[in-house]
This record gives sequence, structure tokens and C-alpha cells, in this order.
Amino acid sequence: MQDSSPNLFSYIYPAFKMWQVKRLQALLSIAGIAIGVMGFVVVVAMGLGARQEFSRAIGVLGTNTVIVNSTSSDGLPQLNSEMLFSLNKLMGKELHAMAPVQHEYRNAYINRKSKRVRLVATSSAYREVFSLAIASGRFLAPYDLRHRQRVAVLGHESAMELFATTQVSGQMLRLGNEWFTIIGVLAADKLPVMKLSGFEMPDIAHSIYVPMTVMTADAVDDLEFSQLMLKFVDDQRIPAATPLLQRVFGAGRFRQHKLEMVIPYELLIKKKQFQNMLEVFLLGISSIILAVGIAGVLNVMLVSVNTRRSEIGLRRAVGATKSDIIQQFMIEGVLLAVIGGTVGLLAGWGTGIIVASWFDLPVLFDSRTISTGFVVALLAGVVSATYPAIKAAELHPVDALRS
Amino acid sequence: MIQVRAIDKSYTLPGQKITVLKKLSLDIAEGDFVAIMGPSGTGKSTLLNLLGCLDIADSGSFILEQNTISKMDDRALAEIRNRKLGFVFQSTIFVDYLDLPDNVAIPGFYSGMSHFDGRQRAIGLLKQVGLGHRLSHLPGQLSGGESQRVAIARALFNRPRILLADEPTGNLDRRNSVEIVNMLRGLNAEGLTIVLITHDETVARAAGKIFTMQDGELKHHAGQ
Ligand SMILES: Nc1ncnc2c1ncn2[C@@H]1O[C@H](COP(=O)(O)OP(=O)(O)OP(=O)(O)O)[C@@H](O)[C@H]1O
Ligand SMILES: [Mg+2]
Repeated sequence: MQDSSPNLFSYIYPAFKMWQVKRLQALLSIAGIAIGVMGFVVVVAMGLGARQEFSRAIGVLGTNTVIVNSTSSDGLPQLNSEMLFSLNKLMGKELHAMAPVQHEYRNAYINRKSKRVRLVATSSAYREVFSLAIASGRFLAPYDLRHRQRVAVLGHESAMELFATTQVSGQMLRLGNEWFTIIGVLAADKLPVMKLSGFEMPDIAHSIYVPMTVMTADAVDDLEFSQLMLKFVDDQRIPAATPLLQRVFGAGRFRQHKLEMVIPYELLIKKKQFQNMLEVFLLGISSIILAVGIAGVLNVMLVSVNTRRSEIGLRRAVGATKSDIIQQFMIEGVLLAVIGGTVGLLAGWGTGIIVASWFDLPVLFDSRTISTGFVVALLAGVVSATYPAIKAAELHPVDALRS
Repeated sequence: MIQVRAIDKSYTLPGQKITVLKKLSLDIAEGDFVAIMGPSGTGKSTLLNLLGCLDIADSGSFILEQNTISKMDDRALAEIRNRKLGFVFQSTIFVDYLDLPDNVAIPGFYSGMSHFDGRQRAIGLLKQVGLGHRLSHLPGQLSGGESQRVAIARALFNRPRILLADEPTGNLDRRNSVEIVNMLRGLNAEGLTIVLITHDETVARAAGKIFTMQDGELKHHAGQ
């Protein structure tokens, strides 16, 4: 027997001819699948986005970073070099690096334009806390602090925004009323700018780093600052160190100040747990929407089979086998699913972007998001077409023709 | 060409069994033009459905060109319907969303003909039945006589050995029905075997042999 089975085009072409005539039926099916797929696409994009943000944040912050903030009620820095010495004495072996930080905003003047920039006055240890990579030049060194060198290191984005290049070492830059020599530019980092229940992540790429002694006009052993970044040798040391830290920072001369200790890793974990819950919840909702969509498509296809009984009888009479009829209805279902899936994917993309900007949630569209959308659409198409297709094929040709 | 021996066919409805064909036998030779007449409900369509391999008899034997139909599966029967048989139904049945060439080419769809070749052949056939000027029309836009001509074009698509027509002129006026009968005559003259069911005496007269269905059996009525 020669191969006489119809090719795929011979199925697709009449399907489109039919939908041209039965537009409402086609649109209902497409909408049913599209809405279901859209939900899944948004949930997957959100899940992937959250996961990516989490791993990037961990990549920069590590699990072993502790950030101490302390300011008095009138906004004055409450941490000082003395505390650094005691900390070193108490737990020097457990600490990998310890960087004092004081923020300040200034105007950077360049080519007659000025731009507001975030200045981070710190020490060479800042680089070790965040394992920063250098794109060109070098980072701050102990020498710069001891000798109060007017030097600056640019975060990757601030270099790009001010100079549109990272090759700017040796150039002069006016920050406020002072001139600084640029000695280096950081490599691009992937730390997402994210808020963790009130705590703002250090915006590494958008900052400019200068020796702390230049800003406070004091000697190395007489620093005053409001933030201290601590990097422990490993995260196991953090629980035991917490009471010690409280003692060192709490026993200051000023008892009025506000002391805050942040372990970014814990905040990240909390945020992740919240996102996981949200994901499960949204996945549930999407499944319900998809189920309703499938039921809708199933219904439309059943009605279609019923109104096309004589077509089915005719096709059987002129040579269609049962499996030809099954194929025809399955291909119609899958085609609707592919179209609905594509629409759902695009709609999910748009919705994802809106969700991302409204609720400040990260979303990620990549091959996994797209393939999930198509797999869900195909499954929906197959699930909703199978029963109507079998029903159509099981129609007795004589009965089908009598209708 | 067709050899039917003592076939029985009954329908089982809830609570009752209707026996329609009783030990019916029939021989049809190549090139025959056979008409079957008889009152309504006597089983003419039932017999034609069996001859058309759309249904299987309860017992007896049916041999169509060396094929023992009662022993064949769905796939093989579909192949026979596709290659050897052409149908013209009493009521006009079309795929309403496809234009005339696509409708006529449906048998080609199941014999693996390409869509393009199918349309070419269908257009040729539509011209033959005098509908060359209606190629872009949908079936719903045709009159009864035109519809039956399209149905004949479709039945001829895969060059069948036998044409089975169930009251093709049932819904037509005299002029249209004469036209269809002339068309069938012409096809028979070219060698096509035809089995025709009709209530119309004048239509039946076109056939070489006329049978009457009575009590589940065929009675030879006229011709040899
Ligand atoms: N699928 C079926 N299920 C039950 N009964 C059926 C079925 N098909 C036909 N019958 C019955 O079988 C008998 C013969 O039907 P058939 O359609 O063969 O008659 P017919 O001779 O073609 O009549 P008509 O001239 O009106 O077309 C009728 O009584 C009909 O009700
Ligand atoms: Mg009948």
C-alpha cells in the first residue's frame, strides 16, 4: 500500500479556512488557551526573576556579610575608629574584612555639566567585603587613606554615565569644590538594586569611592562614620558574634543613638520565602484559569464536532480512516493551542513587564519562560482536543451522514 | 464485480430489533447500470451503505473485486471507499467552509494527492459538469441541481470503479433531474459501473437493470 496519508498542510489549510468562517469559535478557543498560558508565563518569569536576583545578590553580598548602621537622632555618625580597634581585638580572627562607610551626595562637574553622584567614603577593605573586580586602574589603598590622597574610584555605571568609557584613570574629576584624580574603575557587577524590608542595598555600580580621610578631614585613627560593613570568615561565625557586636557598638559614649544590624543574607532568604509563597499562590490561580480555559476549548470543540457530523460522515465516505479524523481534530486543537500559546506568551510578557514595574518585582524572560508557555499551550491543546477528536472518529459513518 | 450473497442486516433499537435486509443477494457486472426502486423504509439506503463499505452486514458475504469486505478492517475499508467507490448522497453534503474545488478534491486529500494537484483536477471536473464559472463559490451558494453536479464531480475525483448514487434527483425538478440522468448515462457509456436508487420511474428507465426492494429482498423488475 502506498503512503496515502494526508500531509500536514492538507490539515492546516482547511482548518484556517474554517476559522475564517467560524471566527467566534476560533477566537473563544484561542482566548481560553491564551489566558491560561499567560498566567503560567507570568508566574514562571517571576519565579526565574526572583531566583536570578537572589543568586546575584548572594554572589556579591555572600552569606557572611553583616552591615551595622548607626546614627544619632540628629543624623550624626555614631561609629568611630575606637570601635574598629576593639572589634579587631575581640574577633579579629573571625573577620575577613571590615570597612567603614560614610555616604554623601555631591555634584560631579564634567564638560560644564553637573551630575549628582553618590560618594562613598571608605577604606581599601570595602573591596574585600564585596569581592569587587576592577575594570581599569586600581581600588583605594591604605596609603591613600593614611596620606589623604584626593583620589577616586568610579563604579562601573558612574564611569559610563560621566565619561561613557571605563578608560579614565589619571583624569581629573571635580566633586563639589574639590578635584580628585581618578585612579580606577570597577568592573560591571550584577548586584540588583533591590529593597529588602527597608534596607537599601549598596548601589555599587552607581557610586564613586574616595578615601574616608579626605572626606572627614581626620587622621586614620580618628574616623567617624555611620555604617560599617563586616565580612566574616564564614557564616557560621555570625550567630556567636552578634552579642559581641551589640556590646561593642551599644557601649558607646552616646546611648541615644539608633543601632541597626543587618544580615543581608537573612533578608534575602526572607524575601525568597515570600516570593516562593507568592509563586505557589499564583501557580494555583493560573492552574485554575488554565483549567477553565481547557474546559472552554473542550466545549467549543465538542460543539464543533456536533455541528460537523455530516462533514465527518462525508470524509469517512470518501476515504478517511478513524485515525485521519482523529488527526484532523487533534491538529485543529494543537493549532489553536499554538496560536493561543503565542498570544498568551506575548500577553504574559507584557503583563510581566507591568507587574515588574508596578510591584517592583524582578521578572525574567528567557528560553525557559518561552518553552514553559509552549509546553503548557500544547498540553492544553492536546487535553482539550483528545476527547472531541475521539468522539468524532467513533461516529459511525452512516449515522454521521444521516444527520 | 460485485457479488452479494445472502446478506442480513438489522438495526437494534432500545427494546426492538428491525430486520431490514433478509438473505439478500445481488450480482453486478462491470459496466452495469443498476437502478433500485421501492417504497420508503424498505432498506434501499441500507443496502447502498453496505455496497459502499460504510457499514458491515450481520451475515452473508460481499465480495467487491476480489475483496472480501466483511473481513476487512477500518483502514482497508477506507482505502476501498477512497480508491474504488464514488458516492452521491440523497441530501447534498459538503464541507461548508471550503470552496467548490476544495470540496471536490476531498477524496484526493485521503489518497495523498497534493493540495495543488487536487485543486487542478477538481477545477477540470467542475468544468466538465458545467460549473467552471463558479470556482470561487462556497457550496451554500449553489442551487439543488448545481449541488448534485458538484457531488458527481467529487464522486468521480479518484476515478472510481463504481458510482453509488442515493436518490441523486430526489430534490430536483424535471429539467435538472434529466440533466443529472444524462450525465450518469454518459459516464456509464464510458464504462463506469453505476448503482442508482430512485423513486422516479423515468429516472430508473435510464438504467439497464431495475430492481425493486421488497420485504428485505430485491426483485428483478426490468432489464437483464
Ligand atoms: N441507523 C439506523 N438505526 C436504526 N434504524 C435504522 C437505521 N438506518 C435505517 N434504519 C431503519 O431501517 C429501515 C430502512 O431504512 P433505509 O434508510 O434503508 O430505507 P430506504 O429504503 O432508503 O427509505 P427511503 O426511500 O425513505 O430513503 C427504516 O425502517 C429505518 O427506520
Ligand atoms: Mg434512503
